[in-house]
Amino acid sequence: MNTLLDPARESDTPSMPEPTSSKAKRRVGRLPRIALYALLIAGALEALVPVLWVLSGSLQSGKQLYKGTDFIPHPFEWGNFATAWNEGGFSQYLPNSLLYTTAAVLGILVIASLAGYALARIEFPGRGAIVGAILVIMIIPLPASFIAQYKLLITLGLANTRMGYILVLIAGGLPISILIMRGFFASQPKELEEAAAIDGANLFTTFWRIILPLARPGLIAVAVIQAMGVWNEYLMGLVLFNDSSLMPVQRGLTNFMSADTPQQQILLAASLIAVLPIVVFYAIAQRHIISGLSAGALK
Amino acid sequence: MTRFHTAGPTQPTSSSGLSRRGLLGAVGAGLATATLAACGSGDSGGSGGGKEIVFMNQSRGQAATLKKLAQQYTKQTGVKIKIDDVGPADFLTKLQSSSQARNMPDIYSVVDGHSMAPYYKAGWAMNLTDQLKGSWGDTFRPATLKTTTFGADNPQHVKPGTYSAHWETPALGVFVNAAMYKGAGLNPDQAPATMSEFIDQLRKIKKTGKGPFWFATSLSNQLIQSYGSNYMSDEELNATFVGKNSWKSEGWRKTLQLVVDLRDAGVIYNGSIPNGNGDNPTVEKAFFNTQGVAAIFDGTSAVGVARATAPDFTDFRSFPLPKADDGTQTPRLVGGAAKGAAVNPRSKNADKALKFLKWLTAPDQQQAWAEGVPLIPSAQAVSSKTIPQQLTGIAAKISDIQLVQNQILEQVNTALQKGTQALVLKERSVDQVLGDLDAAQKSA
Amino acid sequence: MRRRSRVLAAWLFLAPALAMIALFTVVPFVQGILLSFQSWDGVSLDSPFVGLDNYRYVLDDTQFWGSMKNAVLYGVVGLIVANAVSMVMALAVHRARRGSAFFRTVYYLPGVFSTVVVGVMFSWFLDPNIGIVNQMLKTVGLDGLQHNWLGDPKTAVIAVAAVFVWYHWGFGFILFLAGRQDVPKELYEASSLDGARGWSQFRYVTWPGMSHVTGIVSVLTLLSGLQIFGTVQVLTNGGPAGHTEVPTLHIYQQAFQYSEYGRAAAMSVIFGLCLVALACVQLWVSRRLGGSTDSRTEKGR
Repeated sequence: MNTLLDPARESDTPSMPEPTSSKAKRRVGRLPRIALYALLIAGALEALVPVLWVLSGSLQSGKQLYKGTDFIPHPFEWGNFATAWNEGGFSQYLPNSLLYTTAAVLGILVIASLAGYALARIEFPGRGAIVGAILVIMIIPLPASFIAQYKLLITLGLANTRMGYILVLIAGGLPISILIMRGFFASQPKELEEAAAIDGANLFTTFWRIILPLARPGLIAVAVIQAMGVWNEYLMGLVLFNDSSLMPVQRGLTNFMSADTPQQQILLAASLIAVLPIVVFYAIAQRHIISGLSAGALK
Repeated sequence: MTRFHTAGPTQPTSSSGLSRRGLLGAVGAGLATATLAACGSGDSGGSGGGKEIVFMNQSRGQAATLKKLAQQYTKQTGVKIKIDDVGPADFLTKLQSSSQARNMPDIYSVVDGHSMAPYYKAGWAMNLTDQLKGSWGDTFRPATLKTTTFGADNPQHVKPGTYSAHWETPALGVFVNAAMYKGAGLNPDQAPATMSEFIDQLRKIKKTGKGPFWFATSLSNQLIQSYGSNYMSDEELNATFVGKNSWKSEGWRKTLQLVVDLRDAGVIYNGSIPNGNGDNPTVEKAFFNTQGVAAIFDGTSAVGVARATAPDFTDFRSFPLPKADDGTQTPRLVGGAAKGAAVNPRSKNADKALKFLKWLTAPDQQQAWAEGVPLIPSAQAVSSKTIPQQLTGIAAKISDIQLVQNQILEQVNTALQKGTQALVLKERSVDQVLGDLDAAQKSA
Repeated sequence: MRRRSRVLAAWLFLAPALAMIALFTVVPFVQGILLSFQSWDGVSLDSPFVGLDNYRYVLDDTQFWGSMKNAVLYGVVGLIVANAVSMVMALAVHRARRGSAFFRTVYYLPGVFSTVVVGVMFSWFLDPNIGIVNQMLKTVGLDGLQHNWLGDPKTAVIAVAAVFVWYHWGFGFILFLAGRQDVPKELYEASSLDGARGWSQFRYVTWPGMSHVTGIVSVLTLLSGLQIFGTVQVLTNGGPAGHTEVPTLHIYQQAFQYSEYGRAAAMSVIFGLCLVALACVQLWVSRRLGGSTDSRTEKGR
């Protein structure tokens, strides 16, 4: 763990105090601020340059892209996006994925926050065992367990149904979400709950009225992580659905993932179409992390 | 790791409307429970036994031609055919889950024998051995039949017989950039007589500043199997592949020496062979698109890829892998996994599907395959005019293809690919690699 | 009486989660464990029990065990490099007053792409002849640094690790940022009154305040490093000559290339148990660190 500290120390320039208090803000000198923004911009470039290439590549002709030496498309092939949209069947897959992601994330939030709260706050026999079991299940990656899941869904009559897919998505997202929510609840002060308990409110009321609103940052973090995971889920969507009208957005991408028909420019355009909703969702959600926190700051 | 590439436009999957109510319900109500309730279940009427024949297709490059032929068949016979375009990356996953759900398609693409063996053993493919004894079988090149038949000694323990029919006879060989050859004062139209002549040519090309020779890690086993035929008969090759003969033999030692010779001559582009999932596309890109390398080892299907990605570049030639200087046998081409299909005998449509497969592989339709994809057809009667001129060098020797019934085990392939890389990097000796191959064969 | 009702409530709170996990996760999980004692080709409806044969095979598989050291390497890289980058950037973004929305969004971007796209992207960047990395080095006159990044065993390992960090650090970044914003401001005000600044403030306020987030992120990045798969498969597929091989690649090959699902399951169980043990150690360490610092926080209050 000490090794973890070192790199953090190096860049977390010690001369910069916490800017949240107004006194501290004034003390941030010009030089540290330049260093801070230099670091932030370097990070942005590191993250963005490859992504910009995806954008650039998605606007090149196949011939230019396969030459592989240009960064600026000439001419701009806007038609790649139309081709990707049509051949990828996105008008059909995108609404499906929006539905699956909304339903699965909401399901995960409700179920995981209930469980996380119980595991963080209520003492009962078997608590440690449950946490341990969740951890073990989360960690051991068994191959082909999707086949067992698929056979189970057939038995339950849920194969080739939206319901079956959503249930699998929820179940898959639960273990890590429960552990994260448990961590957030454990970090919250107990005083409010104790006050509520004295007022005679029962546990469920306390949970819904007091605990959950305070856990907003945790819920948003879980939502962001799970939305991405659910949106990118692919294997179960492939196996479960025979009906292409039910398939999620990742299926649209695979139409171009083949060395048989090298259309990398279309694959790149399709990738951008497929990730756009999740990026927009995140861009909006990250503001809520701030507002969630300012609510939390009142505690 | 798609080893064989063919070109053609992708087909969009048929689209039908999404349940709008389900979606609006989700967004409007904003409750997980409400959404779950609102989700209509899809039509679970699977494939198999329906009114139309369901064909699960693996190839993207051949999808357009398949669709065209299916439409033509429907017009002629009234039998409807539904093509389920799963695509190469997902084909085996989908086929596996379909088998577990006992919901297999009526007819489906086949890939290499090792991957298909479990399906044949589980009775998911009609045994076509008797069918192929008659006039249908006579239309095929004997090599195609032999290499797609499971022999008595097959290490996968499939009941001996033929379970698939193919419309392609692929082969692997060398492709050279004619302009680069001429630039180095060499004649691209004259295939080198021996491997040492070829290596000399590559040395000259290196002096002109171009990359000399390249091949993908995932094709190194094919390169080695091809070169091995200089020293071993088909029976001897087969005996090694099924584990009867050791890899530690004089023949294989001389064969692997090729990699060492290429390395020591300094004619491997960049001094290493590409790896990773897209290794062969990387090689093809360097040859067809950026034209940084003068010669590659690749499958005949590369011509289709070239047509799709570099339509302006046609000035290249092909020839079989040059003969070894000290070879004891006439070298033979290596084939590889041909495109074809198997029929699901448990389907109510099995007879109809079999008829369709017979029609698909008939010489008239093979003509369409050869022109549409393009490929070297498996039918003997198809005119060689349909074969693109860049493939004529390899196609001329197609009758000399290896008649090795069994393929190298996947486990040994992995060891062979790793060993080839280790030879190029000078990390292991030929004898060490042969030891690794024996170990891999034994552990499998 | 009150205690008993709380226990009942706990089980009620847990019921939906336990039901879902039991049905959709535990059932396939147990089947997967059973599979490690069976022989199955992935298709056959018949999968006979073979006792400990699969485990014996795995114990003798030197390549599988040899690949463990790469997994450990990637795990350590994930734990140290990816975590450090995530945390430093989270603290920096927290401090920035302008453009923080932009930085938050941009840092998260790499992780949203599929591994196939990442493979296409970085194979192109790292191509020895036409790749942007070598082209840039040439442009700035550093021709000598041009390299066959994925072909040379030494740099291939580093290149895969670098792509892994690029792909994954945004995830830890969000959690760290959320965790950092969760540390009460009063603690900083109190500590600056005490004269704590810079490093000591980080050590005694920020670090303990973020301990639970650090614990979660550390376990997750350690695990994702140890379980690295997609990045390796698309970039090197274990090559050159096995220098980037990892256990997950072996498990994948056993199941989906060799049709040996029983052996793959046995490998997964063994590998999984190693992971569980490591995760427990990791959790224990971070809990101890967190515990000791928590008491300090209390004092600080």
